[in-house]
Amino acid sequence: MKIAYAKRNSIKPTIQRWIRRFCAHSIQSIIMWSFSAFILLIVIVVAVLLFNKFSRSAEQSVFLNAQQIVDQVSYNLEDYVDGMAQLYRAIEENMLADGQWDDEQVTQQLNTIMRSRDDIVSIALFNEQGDMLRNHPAMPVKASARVTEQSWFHSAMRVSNHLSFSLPHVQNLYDHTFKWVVTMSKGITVVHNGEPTYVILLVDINFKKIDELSSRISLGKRGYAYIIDEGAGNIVYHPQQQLIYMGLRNESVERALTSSDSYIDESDGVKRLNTVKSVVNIGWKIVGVSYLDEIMTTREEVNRYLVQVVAMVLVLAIAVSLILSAMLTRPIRRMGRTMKAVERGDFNVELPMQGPLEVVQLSSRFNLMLDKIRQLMKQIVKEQESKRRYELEALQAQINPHFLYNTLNSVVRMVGMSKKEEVITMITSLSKLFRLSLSKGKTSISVREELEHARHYLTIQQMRYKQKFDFLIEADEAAQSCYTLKLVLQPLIENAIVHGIEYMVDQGHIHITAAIQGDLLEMTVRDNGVGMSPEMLERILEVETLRQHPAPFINTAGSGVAVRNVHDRIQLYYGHRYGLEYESELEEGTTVRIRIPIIHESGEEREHD
Amino acid sequence: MISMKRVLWIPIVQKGRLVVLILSLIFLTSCSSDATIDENEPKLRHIALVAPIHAEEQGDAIRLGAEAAAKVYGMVLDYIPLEPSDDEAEQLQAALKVLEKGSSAILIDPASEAVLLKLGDQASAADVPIIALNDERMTTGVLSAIAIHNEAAGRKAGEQLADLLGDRGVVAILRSDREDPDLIAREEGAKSVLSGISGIQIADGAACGKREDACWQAAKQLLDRESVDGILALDIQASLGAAKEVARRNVQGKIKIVTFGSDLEQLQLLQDGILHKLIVQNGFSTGYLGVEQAVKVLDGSKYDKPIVLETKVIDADNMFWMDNQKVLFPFVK
Repeated sequence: MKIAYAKRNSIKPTIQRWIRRFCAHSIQSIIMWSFSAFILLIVIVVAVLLFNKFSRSAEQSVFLNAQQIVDQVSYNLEDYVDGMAQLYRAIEENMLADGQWDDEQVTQQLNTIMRSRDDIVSIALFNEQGDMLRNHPAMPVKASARVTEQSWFHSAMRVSNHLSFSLPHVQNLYDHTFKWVVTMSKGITVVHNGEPTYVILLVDINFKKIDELSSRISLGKRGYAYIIDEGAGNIVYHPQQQLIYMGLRNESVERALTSSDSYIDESDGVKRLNTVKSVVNIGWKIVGVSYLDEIMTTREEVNRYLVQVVAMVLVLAIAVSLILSAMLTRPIRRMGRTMKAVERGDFNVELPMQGPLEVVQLSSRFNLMLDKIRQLMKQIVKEQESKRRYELEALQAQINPHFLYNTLNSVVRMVGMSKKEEVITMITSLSKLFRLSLSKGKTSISVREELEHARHYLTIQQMRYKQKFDFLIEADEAAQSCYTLKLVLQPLIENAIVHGIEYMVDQGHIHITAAIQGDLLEMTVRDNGVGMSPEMLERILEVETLRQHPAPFINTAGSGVAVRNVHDRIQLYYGHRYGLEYESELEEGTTVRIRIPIIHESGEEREHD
Repeated sequence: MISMKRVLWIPIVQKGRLVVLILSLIFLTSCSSDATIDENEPKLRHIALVAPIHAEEQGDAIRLGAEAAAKVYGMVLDYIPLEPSDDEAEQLQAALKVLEKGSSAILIDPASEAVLLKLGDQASAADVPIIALNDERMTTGVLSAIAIHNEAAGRKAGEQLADLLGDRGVVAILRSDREDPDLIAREEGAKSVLSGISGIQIADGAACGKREDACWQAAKQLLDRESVDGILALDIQASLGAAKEVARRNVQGKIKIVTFGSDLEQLQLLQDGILHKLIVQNGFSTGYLGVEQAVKVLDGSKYDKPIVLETKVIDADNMFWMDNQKVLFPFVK
């Protein structure tokens, strides 16, 4: 439960960050959206063009296909009819060349022809009265045949010497055969037994062949072809002609009769493409019917496929642009993060020199700039420190005259009281004190010298304060040879005398020590004076106050300021680990500890090193 | 130069991920296009047509009609043929086998009511619609029927016979010994017309089975027994039997015969003047409409009445009319 919560918590900001990134005017979102939009636009344009091209070519191919198929059927039919006409001529020559149709040779030739062609149903020869002269295969004509009433007979009689093709019909000459045939007939005058005789030669061909030629075509899944007679528009062949005769189907024959090309037929509510082609040698027309909704299906398929392609490309484009934009903007985002770190004050960062050329150049300039800032900051710190040091040194310079003024005042007073010995001691101490203070201008001196300085100072003060206190200085030999900042003890001693001992009734006592404590040099100034209240103790080393308000530093009377000065100097020179530490109790006394590092050479020497 | 090279190298670090993504998207695209192809090839529905028994040309016409419709409606027609010697038991067996094999719908011209009932029951259980051809009975499982109006056809036959006889003479009805309601309806129709004509007397008829010889015998007995001027033969076999006896007695043309069907032999007899009128139904239309109805039923349409087809009266004069030729003689080889 806890984990899930944690996860949700971690996912949510990520999503929000992403949303922010892609909704805001970030470079990444601009790249991504413009890239995606551009690709989408191109893909849509291409898809629309392709769709038009595809669907048009699909339509054209259906049109062309239908045209070709119908043409093919027409050629086949023409070929077939031509072949049949040739066959008719061959039969005619064999049967009628010498005006002899009933001798043995003719029978043999007819036999050969019949054997070689299974689509010939019968061959028959009639005279003008409709009497049969010869037939093959030999079968009696049925009584009810009514030959003279048949259409092929009429055609042959009407125009002599012209081969006519009948419409498909059921052969009605012989018993028990009701075959569908197309009858070829022609009326010819021949010399038979020396007399010119008008005869009609009939060849019945099985309609099966034409049926096959017409029915075995495929115009799409549901398309078909039918044949009409160009003269009267009768349907010669139709795959569903029984339905047409039953009135269950309709074909708009009129339009097909007048047309010689393709047209769209909508007569029964369904759009159909009708392709018309004439079979010239027989006077028929083939009409190929294709259903347009099959073409529409192709169009829909193309459409659906293109939509899928567009969707896929879009997904691809968004994914690619997402990655690409993230990749391109990554150095910029990294730059942003680095800049933010600088903004927070972390100047120790650096931009890696990698990424696109422009980013590398920018990073390089940023790093240079950062470097410059760091240098400037260092310089400022150095300058500030120097300034502080100068100020302190100036202050230090002011302390001495103040002390000198007081001491000399005491000397004058002692001369007035003719205390010659004391004057000598005091002046001697004073001169030594100054010599030590000067120390050839060095800032650090040995502990021994510093203690010496303190002793002289204490001697002077002891005399000034009329032996109000005594003092004791104790120091290890090792500690004495160490170096310290000069004049660190004096302000503390002054402080002990002025604030601790001056106003006490009893005899004062100041105890100064110097010793090495671990890795530190520790000097203490202990008095048995009035001590300090905790508030005062707190205030005494307020470094911040000292830094922020340096002005009271100089004007304030008393050595509180001087104490802070000592503390500050130690920290400036040696670092914040070092400095003063106060312990005090009211009416018990105060102890100040100076902690500085153990240094075995003077500051000047170190600087030279 | 070096920095340029580095710039070029950066995307390459990500290239692997990108390539995988692109490849997977291409893979997805190809998957979906495969799916498209599958969707566009619907499974063709199969419809079975169980051949009628002893229907000959009529049966062929039904098959041709059904085949034509199957092509129009994008169906696969499974034609279940029967041997000429097969009877109703074989037809039922064949139909049940088709049902077992699995077919979207079954078209059947049932040999008897029993066949239709048994098949209907099983088909109903298997949820396969049955379309009855040449049968008005819409029993269980039969969701549509294509038939002629037998009573009307009977009336038409009665009218034609009366017309041939000049409304005067003795008429006998030669029927089947099967209990076929279709034939009973035809008989009733014919009788209703003939009994209304005062000059016409209806003699006792005769019944025969499915064999021509049996019908010939029946006709013989009938003609021995009665002196008739006209015979109404209710089915093909009866008409052939009557024709044979009439021809044998050499009284063709004198005894007028009106019958049902468009069998080639009947057409020959019609042309020869032994049969005089045929009441013809269109087998092609029956087959075509049967498949059409099957498609409609499969698409959810409901029918509670059979679809009634018109009948045609054919005689020797009009049988070779172009319209009639195409109805009577399908392009069978």
